[in-house]
Amino acid sequence: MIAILLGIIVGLIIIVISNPSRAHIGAMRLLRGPFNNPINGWIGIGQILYRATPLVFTGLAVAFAFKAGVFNIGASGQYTMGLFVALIVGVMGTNLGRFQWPVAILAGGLAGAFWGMFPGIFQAFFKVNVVITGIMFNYIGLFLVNGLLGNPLRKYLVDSATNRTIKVKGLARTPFFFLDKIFPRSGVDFGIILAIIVAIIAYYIINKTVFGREIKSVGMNRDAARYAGVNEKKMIIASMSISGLFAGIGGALFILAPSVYNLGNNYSLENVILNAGFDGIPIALLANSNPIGVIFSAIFVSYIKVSDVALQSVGYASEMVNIIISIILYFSAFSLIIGQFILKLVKRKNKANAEEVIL
Amino acid sequence: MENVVKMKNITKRFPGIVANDNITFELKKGEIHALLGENGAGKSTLMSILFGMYKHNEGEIFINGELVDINSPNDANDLGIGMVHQHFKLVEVFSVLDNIILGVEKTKNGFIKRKEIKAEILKLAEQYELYIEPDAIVENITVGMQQRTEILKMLYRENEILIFDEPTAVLTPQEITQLMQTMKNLAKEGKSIIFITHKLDEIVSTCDRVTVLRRGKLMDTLEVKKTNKHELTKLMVGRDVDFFIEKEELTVGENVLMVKDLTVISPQSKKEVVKDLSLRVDKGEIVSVAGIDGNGQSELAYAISGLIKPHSGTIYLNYEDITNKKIRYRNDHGMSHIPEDRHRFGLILTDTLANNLSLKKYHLKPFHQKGLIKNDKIQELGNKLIEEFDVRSGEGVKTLAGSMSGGNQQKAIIAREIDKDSDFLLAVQTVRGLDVGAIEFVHKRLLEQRSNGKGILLISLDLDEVFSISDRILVIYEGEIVKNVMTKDITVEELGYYMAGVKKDEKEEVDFTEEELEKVISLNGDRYEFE
Repeated sequence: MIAILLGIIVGLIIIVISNPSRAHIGAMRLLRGPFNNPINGWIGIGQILYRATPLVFTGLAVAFAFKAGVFNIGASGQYTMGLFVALIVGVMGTNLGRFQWPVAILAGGLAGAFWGMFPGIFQAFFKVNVVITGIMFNYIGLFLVNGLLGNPLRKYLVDSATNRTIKVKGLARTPFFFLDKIFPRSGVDFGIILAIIVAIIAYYIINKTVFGREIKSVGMNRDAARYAGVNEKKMIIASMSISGLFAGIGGALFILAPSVYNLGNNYSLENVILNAGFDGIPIALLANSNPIGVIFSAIFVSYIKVSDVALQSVGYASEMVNIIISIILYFSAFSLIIGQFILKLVKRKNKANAEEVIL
Repeated sequence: MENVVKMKNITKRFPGIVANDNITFELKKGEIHALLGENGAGKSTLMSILFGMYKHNEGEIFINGELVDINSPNDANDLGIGMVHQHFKLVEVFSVLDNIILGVEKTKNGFIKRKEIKAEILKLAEQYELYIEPDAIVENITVGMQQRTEILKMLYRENEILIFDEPTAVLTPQEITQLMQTMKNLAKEGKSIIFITHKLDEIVSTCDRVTVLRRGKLMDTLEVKKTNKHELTKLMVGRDVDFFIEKEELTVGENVLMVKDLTVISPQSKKEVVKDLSLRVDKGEIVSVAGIDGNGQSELAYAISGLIKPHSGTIYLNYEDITNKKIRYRNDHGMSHIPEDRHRFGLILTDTLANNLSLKKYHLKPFHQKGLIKNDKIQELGNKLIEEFDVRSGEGVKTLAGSMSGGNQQKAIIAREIDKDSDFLLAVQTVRGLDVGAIEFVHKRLLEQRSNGKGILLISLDLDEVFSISDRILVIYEGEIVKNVMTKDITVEELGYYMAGVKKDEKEEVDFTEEELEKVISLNGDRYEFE
């Protein structure tokens, strides 16, 4: 909390320095976040939740892999794959009827899991660091998707005029559920509910099951886990696949979202790796890899991102928000270290006292 | 005799603990002065203060009667203080000579005067009977010679005050005798020696005086001639300790572990570190594998426990071929394993004591139901073992394993492994780094298991341990068993010759009897019939 406050304060200082004349407007807009929306605050909040949906999933992806001690920097690739496969199902699977959107989400998730599995396999069997393969699979995923959209699938999926994919329609879209009644005219849909459910499931798996304990033990001490009889190779592959599953669902939900005014989202064929996966890293770190915490940190990051638009409209660079997020991350890392340091001091004191008693 | 070192009323505080509490220590010229104490008694802290690595909070240090201020090891060096650390500080890829002169090279026009220096060092070596090969590369020479290199390093720097930090831990019995002689020679030449140890025999045989520390406090400084081992132990530990543990008569039962023609290739060096090795352990006996560090002991243990795959050979547990079975299968079918490295393998330091105590059980009933962990059962098991094995920790089952003392960590591992009630226990280096009290505890527990009819394979570098509890000793040298003997039929000296590879027995045939073979076949199928 202190970290977040400090981050925002430093952010405000930067705002003042970079453009003093409009600082008061900028600062206000940053802090007001969703309430910048001229019509009504509820729309803003809905908008935050809408934007937070994929972030919760990429955050969960990174957090889950962290629990097994692997750094899934490949969430972007898995996200892209999930998005792509969900798009295919969403556009071409019209005969699925009302099952079209859940099938598309599931297919997207599986695609992400499949994509996450490879770095896991490379790490487990060939000792190639997941970070390296993760980055490579980000690019492979990106160019594979762009390549497939470029030629064989272009006529079905791409709008040539804008060089963007066409939008999914009708039953392929995630339903608004009842959320459009609460947050009218914002993009928030069933995805955020699914995100919360999945986060709770992830929390449950990690903390309550034998499988979760094995994942955690691999993350905390791989050798000891092996010694205790955990198949650590299987666990690394499993955790990377599950991580990919989350990222893939995130991608699917992004492309299937009805979005604001039922306009839908699309994917632009540029050679740039999608940011959503990388955003998962600070989200997971901010939540200290706790799946429940991920929900809140994703919403928080989304909050700042929403202010981004408002800040830009008064002439601030869009990097401003990224600066603030990274400052918060630094401070939270500091606070963690300081917290541990204090904990250690207290412990040592206790230990000394305990020894006194024992001997 | 005059005092060359006088540390007066030294107090050193670390956050939350007083490591040295008002300690006064005097070293006379030409004496060998032992510093005795358990782990954590403050020996190392005191010497680190003298050597300039820590700064004391209170007290004064006098060298040759002059008040000095030692701020770094360099200051200590200038005052003629040298130290042989427990873990040698040598550059492995340099030659012995280069290591000795490192930092104090004598040069002429910028070139090292190698010839002169070599002659000088050889003369020193001869004077003190320290045999070395000046041109050998350090990583290729024996531990003993590395230690002699360290000693020559001090002598070459003309140090008058020499500190030896537990120097005998890594040596063979013969090398220990030699080192004791060297120390006596050095003292005779007027050097003053501080000898940090917790081995009482060495003190009695070599030292003039002994200072005993316990929990940061000075217990006493005694003339060695006027004291005995029992008095010293009592001062060190604060109570009486059994040196001789009562052992029940040996009654050997059925075979529990059979290793046949095992060859293991080290994943690091790609060399054969265990060569065609066979051994057997029966129920009710403790078999020790003795040897100098690095003769294939670790790899043998890894292969038996399943942590590395053997290149060839077969391992049977209760007559069942487990060579290709998973680690968990072994754990669940009667194998317990106290690992060599308790931080790397034995414990998850960042996890709670309860979770560590259930590390090999949580996947079994009744600790989970349909994959959901039952935390109450895990806590229950934790509390039971803490009580039974007297594991001391700050916050009971919730304590993080990493915050516990080494002895209690080892107790936790032993509790877990013994609680499994396995037929076979693989115990590797069980007492490394433990103090006398904890060692006594561990050994009593192992003997208890023996009485319960379990088979124990003890892999140990500590000969005291080997002789005090094992029934049978196997000596391992370069990955082969070179001696198989009942403990009562061999002396420490003779064992030393086998450990050093000087003596070697013919390879013994180790195999199942006809009767046992039938069991093996009935368990594993026909393919064994034709062997």
